[in-house]
Amino acid sequence: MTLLRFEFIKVFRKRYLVISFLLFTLVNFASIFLTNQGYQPWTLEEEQNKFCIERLCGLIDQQKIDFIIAEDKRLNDTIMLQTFSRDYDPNTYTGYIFNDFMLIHDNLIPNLKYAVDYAYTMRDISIRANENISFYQKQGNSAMVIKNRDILKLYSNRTISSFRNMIPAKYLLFYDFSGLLIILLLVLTLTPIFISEKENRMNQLLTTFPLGEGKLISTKIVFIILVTALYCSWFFLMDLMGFFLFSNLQGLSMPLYSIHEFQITPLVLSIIQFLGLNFFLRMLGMILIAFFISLTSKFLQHVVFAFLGSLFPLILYLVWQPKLHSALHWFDFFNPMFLLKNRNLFLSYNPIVLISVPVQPVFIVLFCVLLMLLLFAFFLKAKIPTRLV
Amino acid sequence: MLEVKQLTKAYGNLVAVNHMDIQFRNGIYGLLGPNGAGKTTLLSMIMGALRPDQGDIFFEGASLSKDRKKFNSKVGYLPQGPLFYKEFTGQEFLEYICVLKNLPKFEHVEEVNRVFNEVNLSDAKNKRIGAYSGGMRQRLGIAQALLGDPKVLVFDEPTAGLDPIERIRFRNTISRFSNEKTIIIATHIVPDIESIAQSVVMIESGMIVAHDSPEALMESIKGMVWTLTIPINKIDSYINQYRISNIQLTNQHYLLRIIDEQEPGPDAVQTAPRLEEAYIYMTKGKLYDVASL
Repeated sequence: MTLLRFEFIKVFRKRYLVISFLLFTLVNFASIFLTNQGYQPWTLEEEQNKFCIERLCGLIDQQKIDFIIAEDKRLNDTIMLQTFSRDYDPNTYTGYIFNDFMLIHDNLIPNLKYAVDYAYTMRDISIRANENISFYQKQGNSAMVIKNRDILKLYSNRTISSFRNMIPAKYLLFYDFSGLLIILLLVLTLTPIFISEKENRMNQLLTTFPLGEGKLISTKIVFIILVTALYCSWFFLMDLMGFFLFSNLQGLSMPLYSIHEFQITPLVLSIIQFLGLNFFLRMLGMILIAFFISLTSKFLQHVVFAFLGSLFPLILYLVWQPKLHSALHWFDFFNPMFLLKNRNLFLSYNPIVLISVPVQPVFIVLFCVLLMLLLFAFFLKAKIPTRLV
Repeated sequence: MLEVKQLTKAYGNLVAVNHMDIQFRNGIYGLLGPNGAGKTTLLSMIMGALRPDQGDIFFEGASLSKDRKKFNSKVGYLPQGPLFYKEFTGQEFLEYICVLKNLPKFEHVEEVNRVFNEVNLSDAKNKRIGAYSGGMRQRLGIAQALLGDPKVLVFDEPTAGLDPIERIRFRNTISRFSNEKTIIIATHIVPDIESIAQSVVMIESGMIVAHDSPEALMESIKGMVWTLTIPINKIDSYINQYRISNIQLTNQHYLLRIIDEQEPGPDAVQTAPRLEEAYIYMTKGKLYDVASL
């Protein structure tokens, strides 16, 4: 614990790091603001939120459906006549008749329709899964039988019984910018972690103490994990806070499949539970990246080379975009970016068949990442001969 | 007792340390040699930072190649030119070293204060190391080596960056421990060890060229040091012909101290040798060339 305290002093007394940390937090807030600028209090969507909360939110019943259809028809008729008032009207939801029409016809009706139709869509999927089971049983394809049974089990009883405005929650789940900032902070924090010992010529001294070099490196590994967890937790909280502040984030207790993009997700979790899982997986991916950065610091002799080497995950994060709903290639399993943008592992049920057993890709990705973590930790612990100056 | 037996280390074709045998008992040992002679390589092998190609090091009879734990708990080391952590205060740095040295926690404060006093750095203990001068940093390095009162102290160029007063202070501090500790000082600055070392090991090209007390080393060149006054215009020929330890301009003449087995001229007067002259003689050092004058 004492050694760990000194590792924190070594790193967090660097002024540039504290400034970067504060600056990146502000930049993240700015980015969340820009992501959600459609949801600021002076916009149409804010009215949607108010309207939704007052009239539509909560359990979906026939009365609400009838109301929204009637409102849509009324506004549609008014708009069609082309004689509606373009002036501010305090008796409208948004202040203007045309905006009311847009709000209801383009935003609320499609979202409500998705919620109402969801149970029917799932029922269709279940029927097809049942048909597939019979078909594959005849073919003797046990893996596909298991897969379709899983589909049946996953989707057969799903319904969306309540309505909330899920757009801010969707934006939150697709928000990746803070990940980029975390990687940047990790580069700034961890590139000097081993190299500074060489530059200070402390490496000559550190090997001579009774405590041993092994204990020192173990402390550094614990530090790397802790600092990564700290950054991930901080930006997770800042993301949540930012979205609450700038987008009227709501419906976190709704099932994940309430968000249209997660319609056929294999997860039976609420959005808040998925956020927890997302945080955990992202942190694992970040720890792998942190280990990679630390390895460049350990094995490269000059801080500039280590910085350049550390930029590799940053570039990969910027360039790599997972293909939605597509099958995974072998490289994907060793790609920590899959854990950083892990929602793509849960958009659909797309198992990989291993020895006739369908396995969720996330487990294979997790296995590979844990394997790489152990390998990287081994290399971090490895002793390298001191070079004399 | 610390003993180096047949120690050898090569970097490619360059043999930095060549079959060295030295026994270090209590007292101050000066390792004298020019830059690149192999002093730092020797110390690095003793401290475990480098692995010898051949030979072994023994501490109290036990081989360090098998177990260094006992030795590491009884040694204080100052490597060459460390910069330490500029983010730490002096106090924090020494507390950190206390932890690395496995000193009991209740001793930390007292021990840190003691060594700060030893190196006269108490006033700066709460300053960041980044704000220390080179001399202060060197004193901090000496202080960290003294933590835990180790039985063996190993210093590599300990007086680099110290002003004359600090050098004297260092020598006096070290002398006080010489009775009960083994102290090894690697340097190329002869006055650092001249007055305090009980034993001087002269190293040249990775080999020991002499190993004895300073008095014995000086005695070994008795009758070979001469003073000679020459006209200014003859200096070039003397520099080319002799090893000269000192040139002093006096009244339109040069007063030379020449190291040579033969009398360099009829007016030459034999004089008492100094340790640095023994060093020049043993290491065949050429101190001046004509172009530099």
